[in-house]
Amino acid sequence: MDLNELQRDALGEIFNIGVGRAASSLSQIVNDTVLLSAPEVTLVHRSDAAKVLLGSEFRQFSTVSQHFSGAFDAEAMLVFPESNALEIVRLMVGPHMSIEELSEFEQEAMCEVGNIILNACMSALADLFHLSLNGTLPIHRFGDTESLSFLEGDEQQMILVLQVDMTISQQRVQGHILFLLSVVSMQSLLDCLDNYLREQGLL
Amino acid sequence: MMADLECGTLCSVIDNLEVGVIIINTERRVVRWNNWLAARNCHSAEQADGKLLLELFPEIVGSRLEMAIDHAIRDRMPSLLSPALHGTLLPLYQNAEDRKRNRRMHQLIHVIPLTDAPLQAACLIQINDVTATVSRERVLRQQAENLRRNSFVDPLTGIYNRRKFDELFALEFAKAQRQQKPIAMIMLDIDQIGAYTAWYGNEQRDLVLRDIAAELKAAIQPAGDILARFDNERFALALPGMDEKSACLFAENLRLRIGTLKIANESETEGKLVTISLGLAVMVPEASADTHTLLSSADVALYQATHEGGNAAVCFSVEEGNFHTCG
Amino acid sequence: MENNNNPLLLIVDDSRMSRMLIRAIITDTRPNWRIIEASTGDESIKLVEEHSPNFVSMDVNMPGISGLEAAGRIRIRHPEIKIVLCTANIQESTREAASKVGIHFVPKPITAATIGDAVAFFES
Repeated sequence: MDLNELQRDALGEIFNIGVGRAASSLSQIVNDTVLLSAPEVTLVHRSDAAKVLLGSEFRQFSTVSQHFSGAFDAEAMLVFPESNALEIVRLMVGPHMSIEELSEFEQEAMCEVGNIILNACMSALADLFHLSLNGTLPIHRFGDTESLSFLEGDEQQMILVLQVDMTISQQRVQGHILFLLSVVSMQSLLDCLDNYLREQGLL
Repeated sequence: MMADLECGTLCSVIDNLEVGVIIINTERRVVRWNNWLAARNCHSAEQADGKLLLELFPEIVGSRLEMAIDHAIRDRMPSLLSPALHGTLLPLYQNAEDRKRNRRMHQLIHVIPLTDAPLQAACLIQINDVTATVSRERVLRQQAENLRRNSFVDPLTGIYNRRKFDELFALEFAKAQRQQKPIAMIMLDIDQIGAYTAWYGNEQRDLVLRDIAAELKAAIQPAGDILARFDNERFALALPGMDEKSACLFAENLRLRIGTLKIANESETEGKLVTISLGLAVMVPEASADTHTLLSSADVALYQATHEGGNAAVCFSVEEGNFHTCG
Repeated sequence: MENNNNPLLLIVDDSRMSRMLIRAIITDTRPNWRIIEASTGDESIKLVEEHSPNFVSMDVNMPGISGLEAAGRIRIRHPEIKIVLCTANIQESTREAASKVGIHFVPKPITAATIGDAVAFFES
């Protein structure tokens, strides 16, 4: 299973709309400019996702996950290297904090940041595809690459990987968004996507 | 008057929960407002019933809370508003005293979509008072800060830090002065540590520092000798009661001992192993002497050892004013 | 320097799907308009020099120079060209700054309604 060029382009555009809206929300909280973009979408097998993440010398991760269900089932996960997560928290909560204070706030603040971004991405998808999706509340976890749960489990899982570029107050931070779906759910998603493209007269 | 939520016993439960509960319908009007909430802000359940939430709390217009409510009602997605990012979003107070002083409680807010269409309930807003947690965290943070200031151990290597070294060294120096006994001072560092770090990275360098510190610690007398992380690159070792000849032998032994660890170092063109250099000075402190002289002497000796190619222990004889290699 | 009297629209977006969508909607509502496309800010500046379009629809979020910057540069040299910026991230401060230089914002996703808004701005 793979994405053709038009599908990749369309998903990329839809997720960019999602993260764009998330950026608006975040900028209101921070009271400063926030830019978010998702320049690349790739579809990989679960086993290859590890390579994508590990390819960028990360060791410790900060992750926020939410589960979505409805027209398709997906586990959505925002993954930032730990140092980047602390940087985001520092930019959002305040520069005057010590490392200890930041670490305390990291759990909650990242939970909310993840919540905003993941909700925005999924609602962009749901809006454009005229779907109904239910979501769960965000869960935050720390871990290293070994402990990331998505690395275990069904070989048959597909993962949509988005690279995420976040700029807060002119500081640039990078991470990833992962959407884990079963082969069946992925097919549902692609069917919805093709329907959308057809409706728009692009297919 | 809004149609009342048909909830019987459950309503009694909602009303008596120890968290704030607001239930709103698709028009964003209040359908339920529990006792906890009524007690902590200026609206009673009767006053709140049927009103637009934005009317009751005009300050949340355009805020993340308003957007979260939209997300819940329109998109059926739940949201979390953390106290870290929002602190005291709603005008809620723990008691009358706080209300007088405008001291709002810290709030953790969950906005959760409800999907029971017939009940007209579209969205649940749950509010937890986390002020206690916040202030407890503040206390813990203060304690951690105090501990840090009072600590005397270098977090990476586990040996004394600079602050503790200065303190203990001053004491031993003064004792040596009183008793007119010798005190030896060794300064040592890892040869070409910069090149090593560039080759192997920061984390590997930290591991080597730790291993060497452990080896040094094993070599000294736990009771009398003072081993410390002097700064980022140097270790300091004070040996009360040791004369120059013994100290020289001791320094040379340390040098050899680190060599036996056989830590690989590909960044070295010769030898290919991690080595250390040591600078040594010994004093029987006169009444007018001070610690700085002894420290600088050892430091100068270290400089000499490093610039003669490293992997050497050099002694600076304070009396004769010259250097000689130990061993 | 086209001889044709029909309005010329330049669509700038790195997403091919977006360009196709805008083109489809415009062709439907203004069949006499001519359309050219660019996929980056730099390319758009080049095409503006070559073809002098009447209107530009510019995506903000693109690789290379951002749509905001490209719009600014076009504006300085060609103040008569009407520019609409398309973005999902409309922050108050950006919107204010842009309206001061006569740039109109249109939210993404692209729909017949949002393009209708852009067309109304172009023709005002």
